[in-house]
Amino acid sequence: MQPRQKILVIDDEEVVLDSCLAMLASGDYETTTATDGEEGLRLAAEISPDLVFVDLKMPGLPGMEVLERLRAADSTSVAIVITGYATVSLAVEAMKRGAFDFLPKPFTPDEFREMVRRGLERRVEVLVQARERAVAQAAGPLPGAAAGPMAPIPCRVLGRWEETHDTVSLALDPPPGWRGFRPGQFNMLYAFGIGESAISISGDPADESRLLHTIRKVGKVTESLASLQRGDVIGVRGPFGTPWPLGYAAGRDVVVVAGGIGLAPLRPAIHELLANRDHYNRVLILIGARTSADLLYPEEIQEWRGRFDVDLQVTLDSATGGWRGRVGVVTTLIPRAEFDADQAVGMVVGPEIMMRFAAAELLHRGMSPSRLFVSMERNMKCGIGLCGHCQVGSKFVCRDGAVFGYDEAETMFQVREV
Amino acid sequence: MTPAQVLDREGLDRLIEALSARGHRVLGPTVRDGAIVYGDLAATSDLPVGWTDRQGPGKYRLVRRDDDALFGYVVGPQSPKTYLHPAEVVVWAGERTAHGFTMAPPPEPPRYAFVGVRPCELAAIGIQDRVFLGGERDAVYGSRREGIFLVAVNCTEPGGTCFCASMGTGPAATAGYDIVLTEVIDGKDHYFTAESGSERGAEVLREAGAVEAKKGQVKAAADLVEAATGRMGRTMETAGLADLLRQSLEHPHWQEVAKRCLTCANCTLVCPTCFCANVEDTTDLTGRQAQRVRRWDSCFNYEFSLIHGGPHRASAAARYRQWMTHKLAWWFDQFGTSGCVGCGRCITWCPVGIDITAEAAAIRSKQEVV
Repeated sequence: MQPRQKILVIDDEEVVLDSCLAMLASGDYETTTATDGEEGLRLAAEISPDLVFVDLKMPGLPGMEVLERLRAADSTSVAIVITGYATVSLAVEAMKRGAFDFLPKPFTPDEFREMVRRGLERRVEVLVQARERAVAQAAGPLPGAAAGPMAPIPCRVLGRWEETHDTVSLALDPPPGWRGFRPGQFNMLYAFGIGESAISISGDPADESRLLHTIRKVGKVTESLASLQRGDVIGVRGPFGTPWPLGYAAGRDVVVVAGGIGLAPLRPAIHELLANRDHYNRVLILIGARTSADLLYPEEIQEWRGRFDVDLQVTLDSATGGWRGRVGVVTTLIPRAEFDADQAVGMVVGPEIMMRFAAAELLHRGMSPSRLFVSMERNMKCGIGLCGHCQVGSKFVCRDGAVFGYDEAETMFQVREV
Repeated sequence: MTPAQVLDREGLDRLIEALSARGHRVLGPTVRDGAIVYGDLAATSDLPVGWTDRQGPGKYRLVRRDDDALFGYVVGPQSPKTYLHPAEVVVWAGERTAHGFTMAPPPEPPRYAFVGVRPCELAAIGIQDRVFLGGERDAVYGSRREGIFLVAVNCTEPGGTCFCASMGTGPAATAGYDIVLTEVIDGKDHYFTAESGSERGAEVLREAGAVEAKKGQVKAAADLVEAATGRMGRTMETAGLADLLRQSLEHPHWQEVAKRCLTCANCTLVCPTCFCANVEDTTDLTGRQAQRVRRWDSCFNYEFSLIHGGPHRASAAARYRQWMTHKLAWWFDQFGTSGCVGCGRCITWCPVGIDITAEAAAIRSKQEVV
């Protein structure tokens, strides 16, 4: 006999908990309730629920925080957010933090039961995927790629939200057999019948249950990818490319410099740096954007900046919308940044001209070119070093990069049109 | 390896039949549109019997010979690349379904046999093997390459743009063939000495009725091939060339070439090792069926290096430098071999006659003043 599926409801209003219990009474579920976040997390750890409902507005631990901790503890957990203050931005925020769906109060028994059904369905999927991943890890090559490495594997869009006026993030269901990625790697994303584009993976590498991409709309393909909606299917090939040298950086100061969309390929590295904060010495994150409207992941930046063990600076090329922070290009942050140039590791992504100047500033501070890393952008069509488009000198950027040591990348920067 | 054998023209006809009987689609040099190109062979009469070619920078003409030689010419604009790495090929086909889409691999390609492959072409196949099979296996190339049957022909009359002797790939084939032939015409005597390079090569020779060659026949063939070494239309000084080019990225000569180069991409299309390709995703009118087509591309095309904001290599100088430095230097770093086999096609088929051997020499000679 199948064990009964377990549902946990976390809400500070007893009346909500009671009605949830009543609505689930007819189903064959094991339902548990908690009246605050702390208790909810404790119960979740104890019973490993298949589905968790979290009220966003509770005294004590906020719902968003509960959501994050649930997923950090178990990436296969499926959580649905409940709130009486339903706004689009709240729903998006919950989605960003990994919520599967969003249930505005008040809700009818039918709406609630429909949400339960979908949530449990998702849980089964997630568990199957986790099992497949484990099998794939043991078995070796990626299954489902019968048409060869050039065939995209269909994946569902779990969530979509606008980051800025010209960028969109997609949360994807990882392809069958997905074995994770390393910060700095990219996927080839395929919009059915339209085309394919190389997009860096921008989510937390520890979150195995979804794959995050931030896409800047610059052409036909990226426009199509960015217009996909939740539930649509996208093609994924990957992960490709070299990772950021996070192991090498252990025990050293780490200086992360991001310009514009360049923050997207660096975000997984930042997640990993912060998740293993005690492995590194000083962590500096220097972020530049054109205007405040172009700044990616502002809530997350606020969070990182709130930490005492991170030195994070943001600067805008031009101050708009009541910006009271620093103004100037991101390279101007480097001369004043506090790090030990003798041992520090630099990781830089942005437009090529920004990377050139940032590298010059870091080298001027005394950073060794062998400890400076950049991520190059080139035309990529295949991702596996066969189509030839991304070549720079003897390198295939897709295979030998896109993360390069500056000692390797120097020629690329210094010889025009190489 | 079996001792040297010999076939006459009828024997060669039987060899073609034997390959057909084994299920191969037999391809070889044929005359079409005023050039020698690969086409289907049913018998030796499909070969360019009695034809030869005159080649020079930007120049290619077919002329009649005064004998009935079957292989009395060198290489035309095509090479086995035309079939192993097709100019246009469907990589996969997809179909939209209720739950997303499904992907299917393309149909199995025919099993090819090539008759009349030149030593430089064998070398080029060896190079593309490293490109397409050395790392990530390319399914399009792999499915065509595996199961191929190669009948090579040694060169006895090099052309005006040939320099395989400089590149160490000819005029004699040394490896990579199932059978290698050398054509000898001695007065009324017309025969082909033959050696097998594989078990199936030996079998096919038996099926074709090859007999052991006489000592004099073997020597006559060897003498012709040896004499060919000294009769190349071009030479390329390769000593230290790769390093020289790696260090010459800012050499003024690139601007010099750019004044002549039309960036037409002819050189990359005729090159037997150039592998760059573009992929294009398309759908039918209903939007339900989609496919990915792979098409030859060229580093000479303006859009080749296109990223958001414009192409990375916009100038003709940068594009020519990319092609030549890749071929003669970076190829070694990527695949442990030269990307040039000395076939001379890029010289012959360049509309303005740019000569890779002359450009390499120019960079070498002007090195001191840089």
